[in-house]
Amino acid sequence: MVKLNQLIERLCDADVDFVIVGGFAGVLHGSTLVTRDLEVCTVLSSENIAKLRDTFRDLQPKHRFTTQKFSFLDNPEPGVALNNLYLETDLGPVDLLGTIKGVGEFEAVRAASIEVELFGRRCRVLSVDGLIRAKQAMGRDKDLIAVKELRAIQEAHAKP
Amino acid sequence: MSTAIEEAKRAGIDMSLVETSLRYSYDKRAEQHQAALELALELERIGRQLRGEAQPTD
Repeated sequence: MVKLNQLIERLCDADVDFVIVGGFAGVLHGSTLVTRDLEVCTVLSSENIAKLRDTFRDLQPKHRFTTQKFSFLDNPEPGVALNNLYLETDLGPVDLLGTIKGVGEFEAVRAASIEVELFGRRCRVLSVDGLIRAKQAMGRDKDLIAVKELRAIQEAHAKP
Repeated sequence: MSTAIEEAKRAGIDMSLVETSLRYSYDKRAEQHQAALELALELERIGRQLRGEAQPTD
């Protein structure tokens, strides 16, 4: 069961400052491209990791790129900070990233974001301009298609 | 000079769908995406079933 909307609700309620990035940020800006995971930028301090562990506790969170699928509930040990986390949960995959290529670390990503109301909550989303920079920096074929769509969205917004 | 919208159309992006999406609220865009994702996953599941492949366990 993949319920990215519910993952966002969980994160919004977790008292962790984050910015929605990646394909789902594109969706919120009007992109029609479907994404299978939720990507957010945040600071993965030991304190935030503890909050995220509580938030995802009942969702069987696992490190999805480990062959043994280590549980996020046990790894990393308390007090450890990380740069990135790639989790599989009962509500779908969620990537928690400390840096976004083409934009920078969390503070730069936050500065390049806008606040929106989503499901009755306030949350931050990387701006269209920031997303274009991030996707250009990634440079894969699928990112370059997304850039074309995002530029068209920018142009559509700019129309009188 | 080529506009971004024309370039997107040439790349195969259906701008009528984008324009519809731009008329929606953030909630509605997220809900529409969820519906499209569920459809894609269901089609994949049916495809695997028809080919006799194992379903993913996670």
